[in-house]
Amino acid sequence: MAEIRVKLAEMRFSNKSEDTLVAHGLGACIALAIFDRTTSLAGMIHIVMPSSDVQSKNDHPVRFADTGVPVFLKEFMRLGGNFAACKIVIAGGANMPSNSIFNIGDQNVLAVKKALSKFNLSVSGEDIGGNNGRTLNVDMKQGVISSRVFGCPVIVL
Amino acid sequence: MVDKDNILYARIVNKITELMPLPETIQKIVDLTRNPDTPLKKISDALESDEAMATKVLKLANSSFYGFSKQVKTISHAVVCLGFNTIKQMALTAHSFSVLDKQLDGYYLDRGAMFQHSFGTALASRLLATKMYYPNAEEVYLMGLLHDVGKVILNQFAEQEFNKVIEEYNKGGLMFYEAERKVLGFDHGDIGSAVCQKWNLSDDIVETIRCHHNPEEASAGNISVHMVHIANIIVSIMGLGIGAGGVDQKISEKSLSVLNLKEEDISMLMMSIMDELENDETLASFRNA
Ligand SMILES: [Fe+2]
Ligand SMILES: [Fe+2]
Repeated sequence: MAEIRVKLAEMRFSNKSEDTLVAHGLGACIALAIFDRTTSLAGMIHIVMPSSDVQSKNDHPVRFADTGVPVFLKEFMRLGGNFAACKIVIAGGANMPSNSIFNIGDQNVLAVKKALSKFNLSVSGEDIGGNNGRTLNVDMKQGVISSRVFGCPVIVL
Repeated sequence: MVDKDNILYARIVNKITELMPLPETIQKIVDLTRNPDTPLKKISDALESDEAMATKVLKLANSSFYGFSKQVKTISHAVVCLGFNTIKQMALTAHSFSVLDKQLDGYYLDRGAMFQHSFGTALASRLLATKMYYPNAEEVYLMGLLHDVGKVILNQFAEQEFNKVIEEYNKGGLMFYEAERKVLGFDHGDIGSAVCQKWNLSDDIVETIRCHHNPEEASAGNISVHMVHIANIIVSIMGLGIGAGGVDQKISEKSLSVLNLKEEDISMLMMSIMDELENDETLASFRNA
């Protein structure tokens, strides 16, 4: 079994049933996972920030929700993925408690959902918010997407 | 400040030299550089006597941060180009990398995570130092690298007590370092600071490491503590090697105002951290070493 780690500002795809896609240690970041049962194609993107406004050139689309989600979905379609038969899940979006100057986790969640809605898509499962770090895992063989907060039980999404 | 009668603290501090010794070569360099009149030749001789360390220092000297157009090939050349403070910092940095390449079960940090978190915080601290025109950005890098070194000791040495910390933290309402303080009477910053003291590092480093979660407690002239405080939180938010405690950390308003940081600055900082992570070969080369 190969574990494919999806690191900060990366997106990865697989259609091999022995693979798992994993994003470790999600803080305010969002891992968006998509799994198409019919073709056994799965993808995951690890988004860091909500808006690409902060960069002058579009050098790193995958870092941001507004530019990363479209790039990710288009690649999924190009690889033969079918939205009608797929599961879409997000995890992450943790926030710092109290008097922080910004709540990037919440902003990330909103931005990802907004970007999905432009493709008429919405999430079918989520594990978001709070102050904890998480891991999102797509087990291709079982067809199970699950998330886990450190030291807590696994949640199937 | 840790209570003088804290037995556990005294026991741990007494064990530091055994658990986390500073290699002889580095100890020697640290001592030599305390005297500004030490001839450079003495420093290069000390470093060259430890081949593995010398190789690592050359790697750091050739990293993009220093921007030399030609490769620095010999230690004596590196010492002349960079001066002995930088060389000292590099020797300590190289050693810290190996100290931090550990798995910390108590903190839910696997082997790569502790390393990544420390390395990311070092990069972010140096970015803030450069932004502030702070004179000794490399020292701030070292502070970032070592800020959580106390976790390595606590994880190794205080397993039982540590389970109580986790229990306390899981009750909710306290940040992780507060749970450490409540249960142990000190936090990983105090232990890390004791490590730096044993290693004979500067007072600034010792204080910054101690106060990285509560920069208000540092002395008024200490700016570096605010850089490391913010760097640690940003890197945690980005999920770089986060473990127990997650992003459950309060950003100090004082640090934000001392460094004059706005929301846009934080976004820019995150961008720069990602750029540096992509470009910096140091991480990969040291993890393979
Ligand atoms: Fe810490
Ligand atoms: Fe930290």
